[in-house]
Amino acid sequence: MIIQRLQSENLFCFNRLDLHDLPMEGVILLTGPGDSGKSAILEILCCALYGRTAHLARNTLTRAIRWGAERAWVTLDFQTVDQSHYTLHRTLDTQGSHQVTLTRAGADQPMAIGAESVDQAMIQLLGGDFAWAIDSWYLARSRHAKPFASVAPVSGETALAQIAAMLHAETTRLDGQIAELTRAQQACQEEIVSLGVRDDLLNRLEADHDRAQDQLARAHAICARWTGLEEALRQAAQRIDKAATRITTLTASAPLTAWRQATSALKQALGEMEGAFATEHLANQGAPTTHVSSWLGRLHTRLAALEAVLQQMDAERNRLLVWLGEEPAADSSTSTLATQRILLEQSRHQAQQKRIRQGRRAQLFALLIPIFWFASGILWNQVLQARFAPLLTGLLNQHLPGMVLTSTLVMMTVTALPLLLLLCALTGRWRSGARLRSLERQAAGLDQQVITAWQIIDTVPQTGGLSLSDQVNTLETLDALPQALEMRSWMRDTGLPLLDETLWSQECHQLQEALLACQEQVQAVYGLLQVQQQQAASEPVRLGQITWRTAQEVAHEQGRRRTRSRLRATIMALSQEKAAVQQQVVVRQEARAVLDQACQELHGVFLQEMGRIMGLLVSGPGRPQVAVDGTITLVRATDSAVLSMAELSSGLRHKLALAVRMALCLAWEARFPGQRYVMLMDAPFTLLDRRAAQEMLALLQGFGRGGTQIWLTAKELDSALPAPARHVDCLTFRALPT
Amino acid sequence: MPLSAPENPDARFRVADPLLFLEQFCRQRLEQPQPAAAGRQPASGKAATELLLERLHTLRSSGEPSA
Repeated sequence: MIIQRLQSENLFCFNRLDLHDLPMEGVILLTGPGDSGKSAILEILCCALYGRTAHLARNTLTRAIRWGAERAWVTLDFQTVDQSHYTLHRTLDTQGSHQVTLTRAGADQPMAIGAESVDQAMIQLLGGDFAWAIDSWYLARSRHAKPFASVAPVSGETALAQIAAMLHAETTRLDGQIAELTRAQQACQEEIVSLGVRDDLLNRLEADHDRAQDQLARAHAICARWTGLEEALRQAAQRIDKAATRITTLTASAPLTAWRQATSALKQALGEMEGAFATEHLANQGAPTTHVSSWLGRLHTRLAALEAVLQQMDAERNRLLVWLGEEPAADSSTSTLATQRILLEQSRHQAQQKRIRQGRRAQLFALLIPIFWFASGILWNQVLQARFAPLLTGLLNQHLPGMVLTSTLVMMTVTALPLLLLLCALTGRWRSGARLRSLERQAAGLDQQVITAWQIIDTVPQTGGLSLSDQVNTLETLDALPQALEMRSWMRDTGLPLLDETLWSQECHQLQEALLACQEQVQAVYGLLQVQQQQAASEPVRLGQITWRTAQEVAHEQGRRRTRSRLRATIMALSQEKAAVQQQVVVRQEARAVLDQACQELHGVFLQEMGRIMGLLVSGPGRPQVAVDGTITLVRATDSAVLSMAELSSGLRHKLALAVRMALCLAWEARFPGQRYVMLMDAPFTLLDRRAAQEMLALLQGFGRGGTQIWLTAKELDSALPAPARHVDCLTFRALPT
Repeated sequence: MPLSAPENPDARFRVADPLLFLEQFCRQRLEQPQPAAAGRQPASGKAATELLLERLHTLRSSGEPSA
């Protein structure tokens, strides 16, 4: 910072002050007699910059207002290290009002208004506050006896302090996180306590719930079984009713197929009912079907026998068809009607041809008898009797007595032979006629058999639909055949008398009565089933309520346990997070410790370096060596004795105080090379002798050559000082050559 | 007068950049680890030093601090 212009009114002893066109570097020497206001100018500068002075705090700044004035102001134009120009304006009044604005050159509006805001802005612009200024570049008169000053801003510890501030901010933020996590943990813990979870309660509730669910499942199964049983029983009862109705409407003359179908349906219905009752305790109520079943069993036996008869009849029909030649014979040796008829017709034809031949033969013999007789008479009389009669007679007489007998016999033989032949022919014809008639009778019988067979064939195919009486009659007609006779005997053996209609009607009537009784008892069982089903249906409702309540309790308890587990997990996670944050805090605390150690070391190095510089400033023959270690220590070179500050002369102490500022200036210059800065030295040569004052002035001039603007107050020095540059009141301003 | 600060090399301050000093301090500390304190893990000291270096770089990247 370089001061460019200072204006004030009614501050300290000055009515009006305007210092302008100030040199940017070098020593600005303010000289004048005592109480001429040299120090006041530096006070006004300090007041303008910080709103206080080395002697007046901010709350007592009104004392800086000149006596008799009500209001005072000061305006300071200065240039910062970045070559920016600012104007700082403060206004004070005796009422304690303190108005201040900071304006950047060229800006229409102030960049800061108000004491606090301007203080912060000045710290940013200059690098430190009033305490830093008073310890480093502003040597006030009151600090002459306190040569040691805070070196932290210049030594660079403030820069490290920024890192410390960062760590502190991070640590503070992390501490806040830890506190927040701790509060969250406590809240979770309190919530866990408020949940009041009982571990044993859930186990008991779950056991109760499982037991109730098992009972409910069993009750539902029973209900479902009862429902199925009811449906099966209802359907079986319907089928029994239907079958019973069919049976009761049947008569004894009903077709056998109708009986068979009706009884089969009834048997199936009874079987279904028995099956439905088999697994339930209602089976004891299934007894009424037993009576019906017995009757039904008998009926089935008889129907089976009748069916067997019908099968035999069908077999007989097939045999008749084979016999008639209508069906191919499985066995070629079987005598069929066709072959019999053929053989019979051949026999009849042969008999008829034989009879005709024999008739023709008889007619021939009847015609040949007279002729034979005539021819034989002539032959006998004319030839035989003349020629052979004597020979023959002689032969006959020789061997037989009497010739007469012999002739008679020959004559009789010749005469009777044709008659005999005729008689034979007639006999054969009669016999042929008799055979023919026999064959015709056989053919007629065979035809009758054919007619009967066809009648049987025509009726047998209808046996499946015949009434029982018709079947009996049909079986009677089977007497025409040997097979029928065999079947009839088989029917007697198998008890077919049951086909008696009266007996059959009685049995049917009893069966119908048994069916009616069975229906009534089935209805009774059905009613009992309904009652038991209703009783069973009420159980799931009761168990369902229990299950629902226990499930609610279990869910509620499980929810609380889940909440507790979640809270515990949350607490664990918070603990882990807290541990991590704490670890971060530890790391930052250790980093802060390391940083403090670094600051301490930097401080020590800086002080050591400062002591070296101060040694150069104040060193000289016979002078002690300077060591800066928290305090300024001087070691006597002759015997290495440490001298306390009290043992130092006031001039040496004053010189050390000045040396401290100068060393700080050197440190500043080292840190920010090329940057311009200001030093305010209020009467630094007061306690120095002329030679020492000139030495120090020479040193300050050397600093001014480095670009430092040094404000220096002093009483009139020797004539070596340059001529006054200007006069303010009784003050003399000089810009010393650098 | 032997001392004229800008011209006299002996009068120059040898400690110029505090951040550089801190960086050298930290790197020296990392290269020569300090013995672990009672109840403290040595690794944490390393972590603290590394954290300091990290913040140092953060500060440098954000600009030179004001004096």
